[in-house]
Order: sequence, then structure tokens, then C-alpha cells
Amino acid sequence: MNKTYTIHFAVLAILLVITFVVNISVGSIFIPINEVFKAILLGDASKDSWLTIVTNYRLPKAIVAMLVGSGLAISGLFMQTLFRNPLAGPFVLGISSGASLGVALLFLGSSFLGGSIFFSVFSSWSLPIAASLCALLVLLLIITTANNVKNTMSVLIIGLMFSSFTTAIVSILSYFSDAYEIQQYVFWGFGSLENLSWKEIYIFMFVFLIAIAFSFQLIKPLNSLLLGENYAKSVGINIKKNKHFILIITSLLTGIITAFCGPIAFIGLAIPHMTRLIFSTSNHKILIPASLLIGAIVLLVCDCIAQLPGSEFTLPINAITSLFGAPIVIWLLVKKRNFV
Amino acid sequence: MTIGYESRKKTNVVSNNINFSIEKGRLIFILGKNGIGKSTLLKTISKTIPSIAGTILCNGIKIKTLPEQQLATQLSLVLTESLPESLLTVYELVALGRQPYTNWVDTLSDIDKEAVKKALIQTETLHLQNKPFLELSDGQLQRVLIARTLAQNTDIIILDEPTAHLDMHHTVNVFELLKKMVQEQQKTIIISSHEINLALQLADDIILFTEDKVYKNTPKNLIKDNIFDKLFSSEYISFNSNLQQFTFSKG
Repeated sequence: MNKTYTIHFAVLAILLVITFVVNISVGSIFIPINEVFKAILLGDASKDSWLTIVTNYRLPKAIVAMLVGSGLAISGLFMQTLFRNPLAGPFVLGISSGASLGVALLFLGSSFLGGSIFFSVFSSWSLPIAASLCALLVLLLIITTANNVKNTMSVLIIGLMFSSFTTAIVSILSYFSDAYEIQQYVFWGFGSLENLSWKEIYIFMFVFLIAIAFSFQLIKPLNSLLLGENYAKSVGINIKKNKHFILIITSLLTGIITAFCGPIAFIGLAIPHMTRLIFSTSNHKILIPASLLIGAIVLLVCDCIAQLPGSEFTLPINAITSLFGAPIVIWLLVKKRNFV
Repeated sequence: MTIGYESRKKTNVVSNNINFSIEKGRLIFILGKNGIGKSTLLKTISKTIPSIAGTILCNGIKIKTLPEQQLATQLSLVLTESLPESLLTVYELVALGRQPYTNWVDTLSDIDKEAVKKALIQTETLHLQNKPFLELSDGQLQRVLIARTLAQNTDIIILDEPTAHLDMHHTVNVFELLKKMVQEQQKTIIISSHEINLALQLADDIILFTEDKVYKNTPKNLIKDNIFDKLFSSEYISFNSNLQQFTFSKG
């Protein structure tokens, strides 16, 4: 806690700006960097088509990438500290699976649940609502069980059970669904940072900022949890209240991210590890802002790769994050102690 | 007071009819065989678990009604549980003891830094301050954990079997450090331990758990009343009041 990290943060901030601009400039059509600046800052570009591409497609996508990367990184960090387990993450807790279940019910269940009426009435809104509701439902179940189970490790296992449970329901639903519905669900499962309207992005940002504002309140309890719950209690931290806070923030972030962008794998698990490795600290006063920055940068980079610059194809973002995340986690576990 | 573990369905009473008071500035050892309730008593006193019946007063205030934040400025702990792995350095670990005093983002003020440094010097761990705590030996770690309670600046310090993994040299070292803290800083230190022979020499008071009753008295009085004979119901171990030590007879 007596070290300073000004240089680290300065470098990360510069990297964030660079990746943000590069992310906007690359894609099926390359837009020169200086034109990107012009379009963002002045609302003007040499070609009308470039301006349209930037304001309607690339800028929203880059913003979403940052929100998703930062949000998942924070969720992962919180879960790893709370459960004192290096393999914890929003996925392990079953929150993402809860959101997936909501989406599956919407896409696959419509044929026999009469959801098609619901689907058409609420159109673009039904997806995030269904996903968030189911994520919240799973979270409430987890909080209830967490209150009855003393051991945090059991909560982790319960989370795993929830995900197998939801996977089972999804399989049953798929069995009774037609090809088109399954295709829709599978595409959602690939994950996508695109196709969000500005209105949706504002909602996304609003929820994100509230969650982040509260997460800075948790610096002290999270630090105290580094010594385990009993020690945390002995320095005057209200464990129960803060545990609930941590779980609510995590599910809020994971729920909204999964709803809008699909299940994005490995970011929540890998980013906190990367952050600890770079900053070599466990102090959350450093880890929280650092994870936010690194999460945003990594997802912007992943998205650049997914665009396959110069080609017309776009790879699923989920595949890229896994390709990038899985080796990092393996390398971390082999090379370093599996610290939290 | 009755202590034990409560769950929704059943109550598991570990020990009942406990009644004693502890004066300031004493070194108190809690002795008794495994599973008789030493740790349970410490957990109850420190409000880690609630008492089943009865009350605990700290300076005349029921600890049940005392906010956790306030209790944290009066009572600090060294537990037996092993610490979760993390990158914390010794300095950071000791600084976590300042949490009852730090602001909402856990910034260390000059007073906090001073207290941490003082704690490190008193426990002779200043040279370790930048080392990750995972690399410490058991003896070093115990001293660092004691430094953390010193940084927390509480009148009462509770230690649950602080010397369980230590050799005789380090055990004596830790106890001497605690004795010094009692004498120089008027701390009240409560230790549960199996080091009966050392406890007899060092303790100001002993809380002794036997099968049927919990005694609290000075070592001298307990020896005089032949209470130690009741400690182990074994024919192989007996208390030799001439040596003031437990001896092991080969049968």
C-alpha cells in the first residue's frame, strides 16, 4: 500500500485511447485514424459514409466493448476475492447461466409457452429484460442459499449446480424447438458487441456507472476479506451486508452484459489475474481501477481481432476471448502460484 | 454463560455455567484438553459466534449491543485458521489492522503509518515488511499477526493457539513478546494454548476447562487447590506439584 502506480495507470490510459481509436478505424472498411478523430470530435469526415459508419456502428460498438470488458473484469475480481478462489468468476456463480436461461426461454420456449406474443410486443426490449430477470432470479436463489450455507466454497458449488440445471433446461427446450429458433439462440451464444442502439447503450451505461460507483465503496471490505471472513469481522467490517452488496453488483453487471452481448467467456476470469500480475498487489484500491482499464483494453483488442481487418467476415467475439483467455489462465496457473 | 454452536434445528452446547471476569493488564491462559471449548469460548468472547445464554460485558457494556466498528477498537484477534493466499506484503497485512481507523477507501494516514511501523518494530519484523507474507516461516508469520493486533491498537488481544506450529524456541519467543506487551503497554491478552508447563510459569491467570467445571484463578492458587489433577483423566499423565509440571509416567 506504500507503492505508487502513477506510471502504470498513465500507460494504461494511453493504451486505452490507442486501442479505442484503432478499434473504430478497423473493420471491413478501413477508416484512417485522423478521420476517426475528426468524426468523433467534430462530427465530420471526408466521406459521408465514414461518418455514418463511425457514429452508427463503430463508436457504439467500441463503447459497448469497453463497458463489457470493464464490467466483467470487476465482476470477476469481486467473485475471486469474495470466494477466495482464483477460479471464481461470474460464470462459475451461475449468474451468466441464469441470463442464458432467460434468453433460451425467449428464443426456444416461444413455440409452446406462447412467448411469440410477448416477443413481438416488446421487440428489442424483451431480450435484456428476460436475461436480467433470470440472472436476478438465480442471484436471489444464490443469496438465499448463501445465507443458509456458512461455507463460501459451497456457494461456489451451488453456482455450478445452477449452471448445469439451466443447461439441462436449455437442452430440453432446444429438443422441442425448430431450426430457426435454435439458430437464433446459437447466434446469441456467440456473443456480439454490435447492433445496440444508442438508447440501449445509455441504459447500459447508466446501470454500469451505478454499479461502478458502488464498487468503489467496497474497497475496504474487499481488502479486509483478503485475510478471511473472521479477520474481516474482527476489524469492524459488516460481512453480511457487504457480501450482499458484492453479489448484487456482480449480478447487475453480469446480467446486463449477458443480456445485451451474450455470454462473453473468460474475461471475468482472466482480467483480474492479469491485473494482479502487472501490478503485483492485492490492494483493491489499485485493483478496481486497474481492472476497469485492462478489461476495456483487452476487449477492444479482442474485438479488433474478431473483425479480421481487411476481410468481410467477423468472428464471434466469444471465440476470440476464449482463445485469448484460456491460454493465459493456464499459463498463470503453471507459472505463478494460484494466488487470489 | 453457556457457549456452543447454534443452528436452526439444534443447539450444540459445548460448555455451560462459565462465569469469570478478567482484569486489565493481565496475561491469561486458557487451558484444557482438545474439544473441551477453549476455541469456542474465544470465539464467543470475540463475538465471532453468539453466546447461547448469558452475557459478556466489556467495560460494563454488553458486547452484543456494541457496534462491530467499536468492538474492533477494543478487541483484536489472532486466529488458528490459515490465511487465504494473496499477494499481501507483511506491511500491507499489518496495515489491515488499521481498518477500524482508516477512511472509506482505506488510505493510511500518517498516524496509521506510524502505528504500523511501531507494531513492526515491537515485534521485530520491520526487516520483513516488503516480503510477501506467504514466504514467511510459521514463527515469523505468528509475529506478523501479533504486529497486526498491535497496529489495531486494542486493549484486549485474543490469540487462539498462537504457538501450535512452533518449536520450543519460537514458542518461548512469542510468549515472551506477549508478556512484554502486557507489562509495558497494559494490554489484556487472552491465549488458548496446550503449553501447560509454560503457561504455569508465565500466566497471571489461568482459565482451566475440566470435564465438569471451568476454573479461573492464578496458577499458584490452582496448584494449591489441586485442580490440575482433574485436567486429564488419564493414568499416564499426572501433575507433579513439587516440580509444578505435568509428568508422563510410562505405566
